[in-house]
Amino acid sequence: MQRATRAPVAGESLLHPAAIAAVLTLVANDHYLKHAAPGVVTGKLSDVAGLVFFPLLLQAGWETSQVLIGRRWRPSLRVLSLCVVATGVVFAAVQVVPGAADAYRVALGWLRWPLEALLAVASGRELPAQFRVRHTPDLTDLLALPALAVPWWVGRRRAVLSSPA
Amino acid sequence: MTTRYGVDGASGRWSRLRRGGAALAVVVSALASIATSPPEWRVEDSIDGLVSDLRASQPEDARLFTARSSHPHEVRVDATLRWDRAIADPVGAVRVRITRPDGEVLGERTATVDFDDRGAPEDTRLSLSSVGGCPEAPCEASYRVDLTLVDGHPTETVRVEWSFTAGFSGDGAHQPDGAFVELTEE
Repeated sequence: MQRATRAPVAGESLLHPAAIAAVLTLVANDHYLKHAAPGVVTGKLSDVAGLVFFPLLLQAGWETSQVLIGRRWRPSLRVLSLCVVATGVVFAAVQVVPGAADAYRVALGWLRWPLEALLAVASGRELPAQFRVRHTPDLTDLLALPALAVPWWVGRRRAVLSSPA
Repeated sequence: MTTRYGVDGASGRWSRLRRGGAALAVVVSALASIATSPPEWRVEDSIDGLVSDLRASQPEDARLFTARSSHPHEVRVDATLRWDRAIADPVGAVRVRITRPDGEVLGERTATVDFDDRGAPEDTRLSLSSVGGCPEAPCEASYRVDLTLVDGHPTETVRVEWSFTAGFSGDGAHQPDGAFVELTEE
């Protein structure tokens, strides 16, 4: 089997067409399609899109951290597996466990607050109070879990291609 | 050539382009992850620490509340039912009902005992929400909460630890100016 010889780049898996399409789909669906055509399809589309790119984002975060601390690295199947499993477990938990759903709403609110604060400062408004994000647990969202096969396939292929011959 | 980005590294413009593209993709993906779930503000007031001891000789407890708010609100009872451990097989149920002063039932839920793996009774959590009696804003509405032990043993007791909450919420990071809820127990 012939393998590519170019060096891996941290976070490069997010440049895969599937990942780019997933990010664009998530943004378009949450900001436009859900409002224009609310329904089952648009309700699940963001779940599928998020499950496709989020494990690759986690993996990219690990790879970038290795670069920043000056440590040598390769695309790792083990890290990829952890990212895929962690994404699936957290995604399922926030649909099934009420406490996990609440924690998700609070945590994402904290992560989002700086963005809203920046927008408020830029527009001359008062800083917003700490908020939660809206999230409605839905067991049928678990139907989106097979989408995790996509990042697994993308990341595994990259790991195999960059492993020593 | 070995670079800090890996082994056998490519160099030059193409390599820089890939690194820049990947960094951009990481930033855009991270922003997409946190910026798509809509923020939600919430204004609420709650009375916590309420306790109702229900038993066959006194199976009911009723409390009256008044909620004043700047916007239409909803109300919620969150309760933990602590069953009498001295009774191995509690048969009773606890009914929680929220009514308006005119008797209109806004919400009702009944909970029975849960058992753990060893067959012992364990605490039951119950939550009951209802759209309040305030179609217009600002508003003031009264609520009666009834807790009733139904069909229990003659010696069965259950302690209900609960809270009553009134509040409202909306999309966005900024709550409306002057938004408030005040909840009092009568």
